[in-house]
Amino acid sequence: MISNDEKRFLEPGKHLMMGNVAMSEGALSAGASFFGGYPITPSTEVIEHLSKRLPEVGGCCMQMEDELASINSVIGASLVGAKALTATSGPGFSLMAETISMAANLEIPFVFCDVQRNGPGNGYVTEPHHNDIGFVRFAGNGEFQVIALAPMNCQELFDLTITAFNFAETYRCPVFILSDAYLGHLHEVINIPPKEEILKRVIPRELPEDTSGRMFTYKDRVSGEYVTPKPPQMGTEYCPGLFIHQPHGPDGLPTPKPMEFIEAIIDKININKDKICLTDTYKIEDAEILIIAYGLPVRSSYRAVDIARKEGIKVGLFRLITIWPFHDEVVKEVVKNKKAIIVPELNYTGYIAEQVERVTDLKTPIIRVPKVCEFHHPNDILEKIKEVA
Amino acid sequence: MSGVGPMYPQEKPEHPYLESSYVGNLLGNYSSRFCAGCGYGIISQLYTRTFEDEGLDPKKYPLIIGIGCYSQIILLVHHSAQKILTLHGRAPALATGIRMGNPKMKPIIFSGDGDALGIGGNHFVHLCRRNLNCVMFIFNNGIYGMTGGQAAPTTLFGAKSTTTPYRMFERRIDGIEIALAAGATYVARTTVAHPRTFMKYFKTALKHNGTSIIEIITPCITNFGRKNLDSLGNENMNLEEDISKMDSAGKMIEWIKKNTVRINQAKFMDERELFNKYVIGEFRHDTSQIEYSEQYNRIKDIAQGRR
Amino acid sequence: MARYEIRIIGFGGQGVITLSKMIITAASLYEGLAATQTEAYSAAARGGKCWAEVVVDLDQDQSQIDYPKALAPYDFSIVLSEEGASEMKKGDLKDEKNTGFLLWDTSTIKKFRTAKRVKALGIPIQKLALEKFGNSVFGNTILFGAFMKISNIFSEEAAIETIKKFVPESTLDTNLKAFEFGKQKGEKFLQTLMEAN
Repeated sequence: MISNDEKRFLEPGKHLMMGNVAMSEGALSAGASFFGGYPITPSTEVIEHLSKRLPEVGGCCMQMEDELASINSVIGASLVGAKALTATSGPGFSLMAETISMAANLEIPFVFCDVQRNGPGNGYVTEPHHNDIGFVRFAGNGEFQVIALAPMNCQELFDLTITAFNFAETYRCPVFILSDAYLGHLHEVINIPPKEEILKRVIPRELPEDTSGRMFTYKDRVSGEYVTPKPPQMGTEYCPGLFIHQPHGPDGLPTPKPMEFIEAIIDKININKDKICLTDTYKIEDAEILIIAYGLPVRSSYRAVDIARKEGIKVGLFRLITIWPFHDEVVKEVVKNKKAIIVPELNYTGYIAEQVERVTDLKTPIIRVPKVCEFHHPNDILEKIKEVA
Repeated sequence: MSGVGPMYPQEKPEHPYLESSYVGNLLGNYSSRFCAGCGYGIISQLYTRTFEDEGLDPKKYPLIIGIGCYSQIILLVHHSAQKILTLHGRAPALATGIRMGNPKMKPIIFSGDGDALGIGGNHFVHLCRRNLNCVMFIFNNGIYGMTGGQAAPTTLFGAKSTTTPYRMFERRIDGIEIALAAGATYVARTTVAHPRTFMKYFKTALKHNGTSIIEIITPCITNFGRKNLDSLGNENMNLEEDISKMDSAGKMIEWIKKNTVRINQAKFMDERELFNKYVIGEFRHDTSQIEYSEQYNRIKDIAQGRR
Repeated sequence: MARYEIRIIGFGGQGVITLSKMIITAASLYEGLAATQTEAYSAAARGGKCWAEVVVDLDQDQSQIDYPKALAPYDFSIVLSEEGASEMKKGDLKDEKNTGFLLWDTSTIKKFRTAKRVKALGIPIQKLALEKFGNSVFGNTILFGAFMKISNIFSEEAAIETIKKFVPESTLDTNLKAFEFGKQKGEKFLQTLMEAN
């Protein structure tokens, strides 16, 4: 629990910050009071910064023995009412997958910062590489839906962390912040808003007044809508006797999960896509060629669009801030009647390009611009634009 | 009730012992899924009794339950204990989060030998090292019971199991030695054949401010007893007795009694004599060490400039 | 878009990263320009080769740097170690008017061939800092002063504010003197360049 509110917020105004630090400060502003982590390059600065800052505000920052323990301690803290987060990189994420699935199925909210690096875990591994995008979508055994946000600069690392905590509280699911090795170590000036403004944005952790109600997401029989109650808290009246999101048989033991339960976990997010899926557009009104990007390549794409426009090529940029869930309907609308779609991604597989292919008609060519361990120069994207123009 | 999982019962049942179990509270009777002769029924009843006798509020003692046969203990333990089933081996880590997220809670961890000493060995060691205020039970039946009788890290040398059909050839691990080496401040071992000792140790652990590790030797007849002879553990004693399979609860309990050595006696026995034996008793009760969350509060004081 | 690519290279402990942070602080916090900085981290930042990069955009409307990585050819290169010097080629610096400067430390680098072919200012920084100000840590401030003058990215006021933010109060006066010294070196260098043209 946060006991010292004075130190929680930084002085409003401009601060020069590293991406990882901006993310940590965003978490503190959002009211995070527990961090469990294990050092891994390039996310180490998060645990370093929070182990200094969290005790200052009365929270707790724990360096656990491994990633498995860190994620478990995080959901443990979330169970007793602390807003909790962890930060790691790809190899740590692989270890944590098991528990992420459990947390998603038990609807335990927490925020997960994945500072992506190129994999696997051995060798030279400290370069940016968006290779966890697909893994995040299906992170673990069991069916569930997560929310993943992709910031592109330090300011967004701060802002989107607050948004991530709000999503976690509202929809009770793991929320991922997909940073990367370059963004995490980038120093930029960020603008910290005043305390009052931040507090207006933050959704605090609360117990519902009605302690006898349902504790997991359910479909309201009358309205047919999914209702997600506030997260239960161990040690209070508002907690199930057995914390498991499963029906139970006459002897009290859990029985196999019927499909409604899985439906509820996935659809509670999918039906709220309009609220969750944050997007941004740049000069797409009259665009013939469309760039769809997320994360760092967005920055290069802005420049590529500007240069191409000067040369008379009608290009627009559609930016995904929320990657998962993928908003099919919105993307479908955006890619309509386009000459070509360019998807620059920091990976070879093209996780988002695959999604775009899924919603685009077959005539429209989809051009991937893969790049690994370094990110796109505006000219890389410009080249492709000129090819199809 | 269907579709939401078991709810938190609001009222206390009339019969203090019989109906204070979870299922007793729900249905007014006693039921379990354990095999005949299993020790987990004894353990859960003793657990419930301890809470009833001491008049403690089980809500402050959340139950963190690992994966194993004992997961089904949820039915038999105190009706108002809040229980969470965790992943295999990760219970100590989750308990750490619960304790540090809200230091008013004292987690009680249920774990088996495979859970605590096999897959979760690392978490177990670090739980002991931190001296976090919690109670950890290691239910040691020397076998992987739920998956059908495979060899566990604690399986006795020479015992038969489904993965060691000829005989167990690996040396067993001793959870107590690890806990002592890792720095747990209350360490004890007992068996289900010594229920009063169990209650005594549990009460001490509940009052102890630090990591308490209690290992309980419990019988598994279905997967361990039926396949092994009761001469196990007496290899070096040259006892001329009737040797038979441990295929009933009585035989298994007798074997446990016969195969345990009190800590005071063990001091005068050599390694050969103690081979495949269980040493029971209180190994350490150290109240001088500072508990982890108290230690962390000091850090908070330094960080906030109060010290 | 008026990007400036700045690269500092040296070995760990020379203040490479501090200098880069001072540059970005002056440019972005006090001058209000869009800027980014990256640095070598973990094992690479200790001993051996250490580098830091700063990108500054002089365009006031620019809200962020679109490509946050410094690209060769650089506008300004600060080389402080033998290894960095041997790696450097002429093509690494821009060959334009008013840009493409090299700043290097003559006291730590013995042989620097490229320096003869570009607009280079060599100062025996480590030696001077030790002789004039009593400690080699002031070398950074000398460099900062020289860089401020040569690059002309940020004003002198911004630079002084930055020094106040970075150095402890007890050494502020000495640091300001070192800064002034570096500034004069830079001024002189620019004058000689003008005369040569």
